[in-house]
Amino acid sequence: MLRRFLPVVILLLCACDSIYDEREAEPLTDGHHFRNIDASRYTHWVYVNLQKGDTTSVSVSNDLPPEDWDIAFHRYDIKTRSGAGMETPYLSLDELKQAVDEGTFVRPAADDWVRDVEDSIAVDMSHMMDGYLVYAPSHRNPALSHWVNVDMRSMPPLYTMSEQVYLVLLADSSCVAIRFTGFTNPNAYGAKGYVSFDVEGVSW
Amino acid sequence: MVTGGKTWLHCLTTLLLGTMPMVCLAVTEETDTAQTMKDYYLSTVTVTATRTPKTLDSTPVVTRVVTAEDIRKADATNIRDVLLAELPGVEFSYAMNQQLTMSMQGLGGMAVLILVDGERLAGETLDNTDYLRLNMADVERIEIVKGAASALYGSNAVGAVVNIITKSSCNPMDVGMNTRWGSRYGEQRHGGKLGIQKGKVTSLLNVQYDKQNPYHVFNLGDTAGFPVYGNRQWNVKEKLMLHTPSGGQLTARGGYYFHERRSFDDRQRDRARDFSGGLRYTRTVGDEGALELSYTADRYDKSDYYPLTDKDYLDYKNVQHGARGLLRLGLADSLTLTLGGDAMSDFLMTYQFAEGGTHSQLTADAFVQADWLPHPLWDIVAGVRTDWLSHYGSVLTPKLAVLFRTGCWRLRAGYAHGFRAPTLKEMYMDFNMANIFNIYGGGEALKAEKSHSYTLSGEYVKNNFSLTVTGLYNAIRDEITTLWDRSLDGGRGAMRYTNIPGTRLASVEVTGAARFDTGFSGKVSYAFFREFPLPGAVNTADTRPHALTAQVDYKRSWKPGQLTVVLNGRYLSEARFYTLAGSDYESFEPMTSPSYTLWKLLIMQTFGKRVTMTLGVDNLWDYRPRTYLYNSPYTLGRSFSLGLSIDIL
Repeated sequence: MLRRFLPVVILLLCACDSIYDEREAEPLTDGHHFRNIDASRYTHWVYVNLQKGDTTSVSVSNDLPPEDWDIAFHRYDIKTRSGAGMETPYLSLDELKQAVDEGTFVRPAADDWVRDVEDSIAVDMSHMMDGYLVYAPSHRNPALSHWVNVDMRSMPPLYTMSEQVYLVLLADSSCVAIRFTGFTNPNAYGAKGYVSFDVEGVSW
Repeated sequence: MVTGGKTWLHCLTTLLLGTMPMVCLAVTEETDTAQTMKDYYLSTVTVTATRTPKTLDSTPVVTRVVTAEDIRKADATNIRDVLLAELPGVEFSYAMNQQLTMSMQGLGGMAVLILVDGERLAGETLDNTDYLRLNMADVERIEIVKGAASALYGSNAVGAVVNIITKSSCNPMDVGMNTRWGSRYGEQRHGGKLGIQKGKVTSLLNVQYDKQNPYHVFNLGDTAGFPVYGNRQWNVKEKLMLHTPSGGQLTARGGYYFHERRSFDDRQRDRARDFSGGLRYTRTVGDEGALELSYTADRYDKSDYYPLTDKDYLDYKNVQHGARGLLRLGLADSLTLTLGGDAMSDFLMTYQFAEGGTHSQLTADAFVQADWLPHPLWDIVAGVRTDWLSHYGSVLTPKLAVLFRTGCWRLRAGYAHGFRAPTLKEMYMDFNMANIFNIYGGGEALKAEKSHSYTLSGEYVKNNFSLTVTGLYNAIRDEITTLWDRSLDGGRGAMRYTNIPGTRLASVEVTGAARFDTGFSGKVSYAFFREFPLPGAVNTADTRPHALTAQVDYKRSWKPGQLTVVLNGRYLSEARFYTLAGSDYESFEPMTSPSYTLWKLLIMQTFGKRVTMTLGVDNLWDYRPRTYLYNSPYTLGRSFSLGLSIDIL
């Protein structure tokens, strides 16, 4: 009985791996879905070219952006090349598209956009236990940067992701709609500071 | 709401209200005849303290036994509910990310060894066992031995051993189901059992599902609540026993556990699974000897589940395979020798190792214990064990326990050496903490935690009463913890597992119990705790200096069946201690945990012999913390529960 039982137990214990999904390296984007952009470093901005689907990571202390970029991420901070973005009341890209098609949502006027502002971003968290963080001056879009609410009252902080669709004004005055789909990377053991979103061009 | 100085008042009032019917109804004629305390001490067999079956009356090591009846009276779903109801010095808190951690009179989860049928459990989170995994559906009794016990159980038995003994026998046919619904938090518990005994074969199958929804708690005057995670568990256990023609018994067991934790933002759920199996062969040797051979396998997984994509990614796997041989020999009327040895492999894969890497280690040990009765009034147990760990080396742990009995008195004294070897996680961790700082393992330079524990106990048992006073002193050194090391990461600093000098913990526990023919019984346990920090250190143990658990219950048979009314509760005094003040991890600041008391009333009525209905009122005094601290009870106030249990066959 022992000789029959032992191999079965060992086999069962080893076979348990098959109930899980394999971590797979996903392409950054297919043009409409951006997945797991690594903005986890506090010391870097990650610039994204939505058209080309590429990213460039640049140190905050030496912030020289690449030539072509549309939107940049630093953890949950966002800035734009055009300097403008806004939050819409819509909860899906389809809902927004329908509102645009039906004419119930018209192109925002110049004053409706929320402009990027001179602000500061956290670049060193190592003094968190002392009750302070180290900040550096940087541009930041207050509306877009609301896509994740970080509640620091507990450790680890409580993260709540917005369900809203956001609009980003591009440098050529065209618009894209973005709906964020994740701030963690399942392929990196659920590490936070990774950005996933769906994007669609919007035209009126 | 119960706060501050009112806590004691409510505690006393509840106790008095609970004991008043005891006086008034003591004259009732239609009552059950209870087993006396003396009978209880003479008939309750324990195995944990000496690995030899001994009655509570005759064991030389102080042992607390929680019976299946105690578990039923606590309306317990898992080990947490039982320990909170029975042991005054135990507290469960929320650590980082609301992970459940236990403290037992100044000792953390890693210093208390939890066993199931004498076997270790794989897996840990923040140095604590998954307590929700340890459901109480198939438990016969729980044995708790305070003080070090490494001479029998090896690593981790630094401060106490909690051994959960599962049921081993049943009626020829035992079929039952039970359900329980709570009025708050969406609590549910459902279970079923199937027991068959035919000839020499016994099979026990037990299935339990329990759940709790996520909810918010609000600090007084605060409108932004904290979300508390919800969870659900599945537990399936099968135990198959066969009496062999040679007079031995072969026991095969298998188990599956599933846990899922979620919050209101349901993008990611934390999951855990456990797969366990084992074989044990036991037979008698001579008149009083026994042989035990066993093999056990346990695999504990943790994974992240993403409901939107239906993907479930494994990020932690701990697999343990162990084998044990144990031989007990009665060499003479007054001497029993126990010889044993274990071998175990321990494999760990975790996201907290660099690139999700793996580490494994082998351990082996041998132990010998002599149980000598030099005189009818004396029992002396002495033992020594040597453990070898492939990543650490060898550790030698002795122990000595003496029992002196005269009339109704039992006096016990003991010394035991305990140790906790550094775990694979503590040695090899290489973890980026959200890009804030790194945490590194201490490598093979880490020393084992060691403890010297001394116990002294007096016990008086006469007819319906028992009183036990136990003093425990535990000197712990080379405690393993994380400290900030400025030299790491190019001067930026990082956390690293390292040894610190340790501390000294002292406690006194007084337990009184009484059982009456009138159907009443009661039990009160009081624990006093004090930490004696080493010179230059401060007290960091957050254990309350005073704690009390109490239970009064009344049983009465009447026309529909048996009525049982149980009132149980606990009181925890204010705790003042020091906690780290900043990232230098050297300066401390004072902290206070407020006192509180929680009480539960249960009314259980059986209908015939097969149906039991239970009505519960939890948090009787509607207590809500003003501020929810990590060690506050995360209660929203009074709640009700309704349970139904049916024994079909």
